[in-house]
Amino acid sequence: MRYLLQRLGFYILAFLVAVTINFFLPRMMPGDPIQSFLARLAQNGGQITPETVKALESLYGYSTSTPLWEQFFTYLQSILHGDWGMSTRFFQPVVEVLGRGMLWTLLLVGSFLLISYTLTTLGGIWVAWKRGSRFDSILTVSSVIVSSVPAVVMALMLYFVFASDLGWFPTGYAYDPALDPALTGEFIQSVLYHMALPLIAMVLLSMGNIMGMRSNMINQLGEDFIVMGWAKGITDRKVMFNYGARNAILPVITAFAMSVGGIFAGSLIIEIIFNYPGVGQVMFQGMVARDYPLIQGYLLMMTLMVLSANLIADLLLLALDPRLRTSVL
Amino acid sequence: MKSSKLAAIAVSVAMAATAANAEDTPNLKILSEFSTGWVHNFNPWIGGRQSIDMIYEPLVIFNQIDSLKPHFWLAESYSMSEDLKILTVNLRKGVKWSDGEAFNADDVVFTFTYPSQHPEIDTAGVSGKVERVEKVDEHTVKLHLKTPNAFAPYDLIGVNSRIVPEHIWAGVDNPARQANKQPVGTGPFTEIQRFTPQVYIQCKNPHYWNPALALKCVEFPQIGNNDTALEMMAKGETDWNGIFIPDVDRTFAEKNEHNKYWFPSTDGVRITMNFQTKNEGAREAFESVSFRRAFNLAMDRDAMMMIGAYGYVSGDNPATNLPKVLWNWRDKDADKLWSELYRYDIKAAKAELAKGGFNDLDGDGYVETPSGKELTFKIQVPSGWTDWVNNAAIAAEGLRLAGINANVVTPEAAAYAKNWENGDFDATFGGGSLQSSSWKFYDYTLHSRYAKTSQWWSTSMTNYVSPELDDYIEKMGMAATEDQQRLLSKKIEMHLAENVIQVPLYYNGVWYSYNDSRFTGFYNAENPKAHPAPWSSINRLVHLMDIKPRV
Repeated sequence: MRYLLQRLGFYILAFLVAVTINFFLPRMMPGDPIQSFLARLAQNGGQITPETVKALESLYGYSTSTPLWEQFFTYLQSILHGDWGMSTRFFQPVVEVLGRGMLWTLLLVGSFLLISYTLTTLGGIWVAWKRGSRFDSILTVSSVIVSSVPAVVMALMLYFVFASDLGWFPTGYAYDPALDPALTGEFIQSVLYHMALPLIAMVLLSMGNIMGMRSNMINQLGEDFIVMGWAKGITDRKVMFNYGARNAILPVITAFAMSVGGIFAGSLIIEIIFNYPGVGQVMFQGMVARDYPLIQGYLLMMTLMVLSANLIADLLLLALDPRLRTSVL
Repeated sequence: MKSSKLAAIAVSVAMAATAANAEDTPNLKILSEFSTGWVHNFNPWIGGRQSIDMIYEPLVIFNQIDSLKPHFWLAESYSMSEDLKILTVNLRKGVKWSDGEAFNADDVVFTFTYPSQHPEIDTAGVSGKVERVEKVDEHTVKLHLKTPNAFAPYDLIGVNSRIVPEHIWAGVDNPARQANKQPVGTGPFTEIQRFTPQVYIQCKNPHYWNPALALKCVEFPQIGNNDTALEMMAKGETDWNGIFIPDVDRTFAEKNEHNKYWFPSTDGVRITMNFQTKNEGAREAFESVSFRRAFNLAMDRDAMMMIGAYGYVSGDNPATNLPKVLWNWRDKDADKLWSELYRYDIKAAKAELAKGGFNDLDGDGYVETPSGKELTFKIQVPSGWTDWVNNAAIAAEGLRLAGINANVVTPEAAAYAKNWENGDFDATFGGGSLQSSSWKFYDYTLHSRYAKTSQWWSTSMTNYVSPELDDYIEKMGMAATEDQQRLLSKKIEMHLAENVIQVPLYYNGVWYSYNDSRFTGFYNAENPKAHPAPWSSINRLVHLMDIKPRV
């Protein structure tokens, strides 16, 4: 119990530190929302007149006179009240802006995590069991090569070959623009079809994890209790899964929790190339536009997600690893 | 009996066929605005989709290709009083809002007074220009100006004068926050047939006043970046585009016989020297006319147009960098003087430097200032704007060939603009600006009150303060007849040609392309009737009236 409280306390402290950094870091970037707005206008051939700036200053309530500390405390208060503010880039409440992108990103990332970890874990178990064989060498080496290809290159290659040239997959969007979102077979099919290529790209890029699982397994397979299992006459498969994999999977859970944060950054490239309406593109534009409320909202959400994922991983490890349970409780 | 029956059948078949054809008119697909997902917002002032210009119309549309000729839109005519303080506008009769209400002077009065109470939506700056608005009768309005100005009509009743319905917006307290999802306007496409983050469709206003409109609906597919857009354009899936296309013949025109393009000129690209830079050596150099002449002679403009701008653009900028639409204000004598400098001649550049007392004292290949100070400065250009970055590099190369130690630096766009406010830059590679009239152009880019502000493309790019120029500009604004105005514009043009304040390079292009397999009437080099781009608030309403579906 004390262990749990300690962990909880740590997470609350981490949350507070993250919230503070989330506020100050974006404001350290030179430039401000108004100049970004004008930059966008200039780049798109729009007419910039002296009147535009005055109106924008009024709209954004942008005052250099409010001291930063005051703004920070207002921000802290707004977090407690759940008021995420208005996006200055998209002219919509931050919750709505993040909401529409988040749905698709979570779908994409969620499916990716599920498929990727299942495949790499099972793959790792299998090659560890068959270590030394030709199957092992081929799969290990090729998985590392494939996952070392830079994300941009992989995504562009898949896009140009399968979507643009061969036309086997669509070139963009989350679903066919002519359809309306509904829980019909047609719509779900369209969503899956549009999700396929981005998903394949992301899964291929993560194949390197097979190596990780493989080394975990090999560590375990050297242990005495594995020999004990064979001696008892238990079948190969049972030894592999119940004795070996069960222990080898623990580091994987930790790795999984740590990768949750990074996954969202990685999906940005995929989203841009496949014109997938996830939160990555939205955030990139928000950063460039110095949309502080949006950036703060996004960072807050990310902080909560990463900390929760870590907390869950901690609890999971506690539940799965008897060694932790006896030393702690 | 039989023949009449046959005739009846024939007629009904023909009618069914034409009815089917009318229903089969495709939507005009337009690519003009980037988005990560459409937001359902049609606010007429801020935050709305750019296609609000197809919902809320202006009083007059000034042609941005043909010397600002007026296309009378919601106004039939206008006139300025002799003292240049009263602008009288006569409104078109018989216009209706899309909900059936009549359009009249009340709406115009409201449109010009409402922003004064809500400064955050006053993007046209009406509150600073208009003293009061007087309704003379149902179809006549008088705008009383705060300061007399001969060019006020271009500024006030042009594309920025989007007329909104008084009966909808009167009493709305928080205009900037209204999403206005079912807009009411006088424009051609007011009915929102469908709106999703990936595509939205605007359809015909049932009460539209202009009989020339032959289209049914306009469609806006969502595009996040140039590559996605190019993918659709090359396949001929869209009809009207305003997207930059690299290597246009190979990637676009050759893919489909109906893919066509036309790149007319827009604002002038230039390098400007900061006359108030904190870099001592640079400041001394910039203050020397010989140095400024040498700077211009070291610019390989042809290379810039061919390499950085893919050969899409043209030049021949005057000393004041007037955009092409305002070339009717160029001055022959100023142009003659200027033509000596608007060319690439390294030898002549070196000669000018020598004449100005710039010599290489320490033998490093670069000159020092006449007083012996070291001369090295940076030209700033926004990072990521590749054609400009490439051309800035060409400029720096030319300068170094002539013996001037110049370098390029690429800050992010927001930081690039922030530098102007403090005068924290040596030289800037930037645009020339497009303003509503010749007078406003001179005022914005040359009048000293814009020095050291963060106004894009204004005097803040040069920080050149000249009471003489200020005087000419102010007098030109007060000159009632065109002859008087031209006397003063000539003085301005000569001042710039003699003093060589800046380094105009070439003109940006209007990246306009289209596919005419489903529609005809698109403007091109053979039919340059008005500004062709599908961008909002320029001339696209005029263009829309000329685009017809193919039968």
